[in-house]
Amino acid sequence: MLVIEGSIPNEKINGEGYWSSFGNDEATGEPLTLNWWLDRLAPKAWGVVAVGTCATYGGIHAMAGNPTGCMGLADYLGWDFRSAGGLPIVNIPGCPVQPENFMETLTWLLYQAAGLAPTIPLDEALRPQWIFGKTVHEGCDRAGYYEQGDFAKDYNSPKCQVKIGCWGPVVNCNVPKRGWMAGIGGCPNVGGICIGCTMPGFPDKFMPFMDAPPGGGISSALTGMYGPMIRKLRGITNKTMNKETKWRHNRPQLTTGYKPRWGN
Amino acid sequence: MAVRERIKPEAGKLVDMAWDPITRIVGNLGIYTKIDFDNREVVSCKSTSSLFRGYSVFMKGKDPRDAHFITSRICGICGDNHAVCSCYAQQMAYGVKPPPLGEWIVNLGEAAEYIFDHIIFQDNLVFVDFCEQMVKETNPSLWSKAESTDAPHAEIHGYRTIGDIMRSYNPFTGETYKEALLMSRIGREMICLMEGRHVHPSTIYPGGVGTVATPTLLTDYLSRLLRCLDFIKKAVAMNDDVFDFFYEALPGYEEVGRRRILLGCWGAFNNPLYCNYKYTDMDNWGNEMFVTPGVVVDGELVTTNLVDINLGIRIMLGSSYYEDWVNEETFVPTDPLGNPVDKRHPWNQTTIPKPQKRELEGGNYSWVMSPRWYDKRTGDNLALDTGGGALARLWATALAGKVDTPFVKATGQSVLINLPKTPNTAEQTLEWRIPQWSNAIERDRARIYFVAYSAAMAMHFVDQAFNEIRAGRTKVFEDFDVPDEAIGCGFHEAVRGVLSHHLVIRDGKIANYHPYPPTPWNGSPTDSYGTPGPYEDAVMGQPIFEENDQDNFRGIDIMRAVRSFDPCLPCGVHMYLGKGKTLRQVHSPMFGEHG
Repeated sequence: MLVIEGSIPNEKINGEGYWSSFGNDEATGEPLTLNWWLDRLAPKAWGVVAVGTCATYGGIHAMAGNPTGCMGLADYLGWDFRSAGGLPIVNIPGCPVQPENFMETLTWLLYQAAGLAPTIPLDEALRPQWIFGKTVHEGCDRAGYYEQGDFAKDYNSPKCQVKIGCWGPVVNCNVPKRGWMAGIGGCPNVGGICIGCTMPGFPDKFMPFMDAPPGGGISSALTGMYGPMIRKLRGITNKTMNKETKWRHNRPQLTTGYKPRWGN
Repeated sequence: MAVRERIKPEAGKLVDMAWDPITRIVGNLGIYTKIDFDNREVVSCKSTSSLFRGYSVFMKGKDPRDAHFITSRICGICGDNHAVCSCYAQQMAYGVKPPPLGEWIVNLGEAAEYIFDHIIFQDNLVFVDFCEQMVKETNPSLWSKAESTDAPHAEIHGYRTIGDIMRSYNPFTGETYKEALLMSRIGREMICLMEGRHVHPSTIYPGGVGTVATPTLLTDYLSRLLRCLDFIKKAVAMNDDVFDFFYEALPGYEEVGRRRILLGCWGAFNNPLYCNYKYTDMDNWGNEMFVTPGVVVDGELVTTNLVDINLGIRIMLGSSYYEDWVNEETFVPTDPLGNPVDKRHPWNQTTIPKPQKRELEGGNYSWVMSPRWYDKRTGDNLALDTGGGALARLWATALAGKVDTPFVKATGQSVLINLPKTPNTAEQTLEWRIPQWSNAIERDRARIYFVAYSAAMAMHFVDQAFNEIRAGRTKVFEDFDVPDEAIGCGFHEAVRGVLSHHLVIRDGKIANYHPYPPTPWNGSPTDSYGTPGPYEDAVMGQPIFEENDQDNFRGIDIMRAVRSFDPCLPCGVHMYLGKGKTLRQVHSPMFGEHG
């Protein structure tokens, strides 16, 4: 199993040098590039795993204007690459990767290698489906505010952050549901806007991060129309539900509806 | 992983020995030495880094509010230090001051980062070099002595002999090793409470935080902190016992990793009562930080003024794969106080990468540049190191004598740290005293004391944050506008030392951005004046205490020297001989059983 972390620089455009090396060639003493290692290791591996958004899709270092021409592992080996075990590259994106997502995927692959699990289900971006099949918004405990058209105006607010930069409604990721580690932390669920760090389009398509996503205007405007009414109606119901039933009292009568036979 | 290769005797008795890669320093670190085995001394040392990504290049033209999200990704260990430092720089540029509660929350997150990161580095990586298995292999006679030497602090940590302590640090099996892994996990949970995620925070913004500040947040943090404190009290005593034993048992061991006392600390934990993020007041609020910034030269505190510190920074070339920027634009000719800013200052730097062949003999050999600090008293460009972070922080803070809280107090010669009673241990007062040397052992010792310092300061920050919440002052974020033209600088301490971010905004976009983390300071190559970097001069001239001969040489003393600077996370060392014959797997905590 070959696990790769970090983006793959383009060593075809490195002048006389190298962007990233690891150890030396014993004969010449020259540095060995990461790409040299990949060319030798990837074809021999039973499974090839890219962990973190740099390795999966290029990530931060592959943003516009970068000097190294770096890319994701599938861009380097080819999106149709098949490992010695007959698998496509398995991508576990996230910047950084959610640690439990990583270990869980690796464990699946080890079971699969041992013949104890079926082929790992991946989506088009080569991500495990059970982890990346839902959006951030679908798992976010602030989504209720969205439904009621109740949006945070700045980062002080514990309400839905879509108007202050959160991309959650259109990003595939389970972090608000799972938390960051052992159920603690996360992103919009704890006040951190979703910047789309699990997505192939990250980061450029999500920048500037702290502005409202341009495509989210219409949907949040619609919620803004009916949401306040829902909120008002729910407010009435909520008020009712916050009151105890009327038969709980200390008066000398029983008013619960029970007809006592002890002659009260 | 480090690889030893090319053992070929040179003229005389010098032997080339290299450890490359020693993971993981901004990705890639290599140490190339010449060793005189007859005289048991390292004669020359070169430190190389073989990775370039180009943050300063690709950040140009981006929205400045993206800077902390982007720069967090510089490091997979201390990304939150970068995010926070970037917000400091942005806050100066935007003229915004976060509400006090926001500042306390950032301080709580950063204190947890020091606790987590120093513990995992010290007990799960550094101490592998001091554990039973390693010492047995490299210094068998030392091991037998350790087994028969009583541990002076046995009543605190419960281990009867030094050998018992060393055994508890054996990777995967040792009690302390395993407990430290758990503690570092709890530390990360504490970071996630305050900053949303480790290692790239989600809730840190310029202007404050988005963290939901309720009593629950602080209770969840405090209950974890108390568990860590039980461990920390024992760990300090165990560290002291082992390090003192090395001095006693191996006379002259103070020379390992020793270099001139040239320490830099850029300060940590802003005090919201004083910090307004104005450059013109920076001397004042810098001196109110809960870790005092300072430059220490030959034991003397040269300055604690962040303006002086800022203006003294010089980025040198000499052995690095870049073109010089002397003919490029000068972005900031003078600072807001009217002081001239040097062309070699990060504000005026233009990064022009030029990938080229590595030439270890007389040429360029590293992607790292050579940051230096200009000492205006002497005109020297000093190769400051950070002492792995903790040593410089404690040294500057102790000498300055400014920090005075119920939990931590600087005395002028020492730092007093009061740790409260916790579930399994009694109250404890520790004193870190300024040591005689800047060497491997003192860098390592300072690290565990700084864990105690951070935990004690975290107690103070919890109190302060609770005061705010109970008083109803729950605002954590202050809004701002991005100006068309502005400059900013942020000073902070990454876990392993000084961290600065320099920002220039034009037309509302980033015109220049240069982060300087600790590793370029510590791991820098020889500069254009011929001054070697700190790893290089710390190893050069150091004696070899390892008992193994040349053929079985592990380089343990060199590894201890380099690791004492905390070169990010050296996951392990794997050595083999030139002909591709595997000599031995020395230790690799990431890859199963230890050899």
